Amino acid sequence: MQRTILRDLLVLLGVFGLIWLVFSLFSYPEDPQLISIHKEEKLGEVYVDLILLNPVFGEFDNSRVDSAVRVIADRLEEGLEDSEYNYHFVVFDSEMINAFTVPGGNILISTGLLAFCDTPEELAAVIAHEMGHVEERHVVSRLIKELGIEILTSGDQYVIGEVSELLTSTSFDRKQEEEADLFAAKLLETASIEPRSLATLFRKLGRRWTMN
Amino acid sequence: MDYHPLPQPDQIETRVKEDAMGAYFMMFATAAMGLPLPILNLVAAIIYYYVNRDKGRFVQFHTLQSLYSQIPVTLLNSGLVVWTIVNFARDLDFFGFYWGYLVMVATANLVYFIFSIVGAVKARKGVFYYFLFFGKLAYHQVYRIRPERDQSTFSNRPPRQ
Ligand SMILES: [Zn+2]
Repeated sequence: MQRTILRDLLVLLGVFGLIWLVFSLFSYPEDPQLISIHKEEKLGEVYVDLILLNPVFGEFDNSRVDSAVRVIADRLEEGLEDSEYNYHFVVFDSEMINAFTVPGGNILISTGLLAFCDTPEELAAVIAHEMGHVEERHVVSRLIKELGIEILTSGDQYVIGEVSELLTSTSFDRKQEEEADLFAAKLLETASIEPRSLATLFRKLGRRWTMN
Repeated sequence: MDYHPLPQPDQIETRVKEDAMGAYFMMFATAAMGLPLPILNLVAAIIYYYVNRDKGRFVQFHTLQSLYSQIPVTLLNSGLVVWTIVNFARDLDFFGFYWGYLVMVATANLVYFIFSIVGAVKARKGVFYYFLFFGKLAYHQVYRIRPERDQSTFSNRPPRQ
């Protein structure tokens, strides 16, 4: 009897030990919740610096433009209820009409996009859309999906380069874009900015460019 | 090693069957209560065991099986609570071995829950139902015939020099 008890114990330990091991090694969940906002912010700092090292994305040092962005962003941030992110905006010098989000609430906007926006409301619409990607944690989701969570947080130099590449090239999926648009529409309304500016902007963009 | 004979379902009183069933539900209640502080529910479970000790081997078997199977589940759960708190405090990652452990603990709880329900139903019918490992352990503990200490041959002696 004692021997069969011992055998049973080994079976039990084996089965549960195996479950632990298998799920530890082979099944990385894609839930962005697994990366804390704090960690995301730390990752983001590294990426912003790296992206700005790229000559294509030189940081545009124009305090006047910067503060215009800041004014709009402040108004939108007031409309955000209890956001966990500290937003950071960078305007970079590029002809391209482009805006993208980097982990940790970093939103990068090209001078080309600033020039393209006819009104502050249109710029607000772009920023609100990017804030949507941040708040819905699309950036982290996408990176986890592309790289796997373990690699993403490894801090490896090669990986960091890869991530910067991904952030500036690949785009979000259709569902994420819709979520960001919906978020932007609500946010613009809360901030009492004409939500129609979003539609106007996208109509204009549709003619000119596709945007991340 | 010899074991006491097992009673058949029709030989067990209804009240005894109900007490045996109660053991499983008692463990559920204490497990739910003591989640953050597992020592408490283990103490409660052990008290329940001692209270029901006199109600015969059938009740003892089910109580012990339930108690034994609860111990590792409780330890796993408290391990999870501690690990989670540590992860939050140190801003560590919630994947890798933590994730595997989480899945394992969830599985253990589910298995424990299902087996306890089945065990309770069977106990109510006066049936022996053996969990893997814990069933045999409880049976061995309760039904083993322990050699009687022979009082007559015992004699007091002064302490050794
Ligand atoms: Zn977008």
